[in-house]
Amino acid sequence: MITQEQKDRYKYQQTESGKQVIQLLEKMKNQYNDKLSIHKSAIKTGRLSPLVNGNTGEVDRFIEY
Amino acid sequence: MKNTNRAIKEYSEAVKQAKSVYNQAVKHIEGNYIKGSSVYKDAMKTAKETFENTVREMKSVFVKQVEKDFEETRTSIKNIVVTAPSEELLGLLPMIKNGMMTETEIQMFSDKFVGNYMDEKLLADAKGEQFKTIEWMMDDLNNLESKVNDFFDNYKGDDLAKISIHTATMMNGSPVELMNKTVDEFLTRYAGQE
Repeated sequence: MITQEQKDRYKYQQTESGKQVIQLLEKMKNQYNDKLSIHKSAIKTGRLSPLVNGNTGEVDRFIEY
Repeated sequence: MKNTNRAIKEYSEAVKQAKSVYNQAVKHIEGNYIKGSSVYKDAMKTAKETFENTVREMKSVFVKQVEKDFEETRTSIKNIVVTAPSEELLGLLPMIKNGMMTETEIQMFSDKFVGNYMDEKLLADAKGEQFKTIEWMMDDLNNLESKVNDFFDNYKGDDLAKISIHTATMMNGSPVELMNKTVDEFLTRYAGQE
């Protein structure tokens, strides 16, 4: 189930400033991994990745990283 | 000035997300280190510094957008102000100043010059009337830009309950909307001038 909030967030993450923000959040996550040994899977930055249905071509759901 | 409100909104969301990442790190530290130990304190310090550096970098992304927005607004206003008065008005001004025209005649002529900033200003001056010059709008713009910059300096991803009224007001967009309305009215009023 996809929510409108997810759609909006994903749309924003595809914009120029959205990409920059995600890049900084991912960098932050990497720094926590490097400096504090916090495994990357333990921290979510809110980055969304769509899972597309092969038959319909529609986004089935988003995976949040 | 719509980009400024968009930048404020996007920056707020970005900082909130950075705070969420920071909180996840803090939770991890609390669960894996002995509270109060030097290692715990160092880890907390590192987590906080990393968060603050991220926010600083985010700020530079959005401050640039706001600077560009304000600069474009100033340029639009300037383009209107630096348009020379019309020859027709310049020819009339001595007659008005010398009392060679009746009030009704002046009023009839006045309508012809509506929509040209410098014409309106010189005409008002010749008639001895007050004219709202551009100074107040430029002052308001400077003040607003300063307040927007204060917002970028002060907002650290806290919830509404924990932030100042100034920060909350900036986040709801009303100060920029108000300025935007004023600027839009000005630009619309003089949009047709050559």
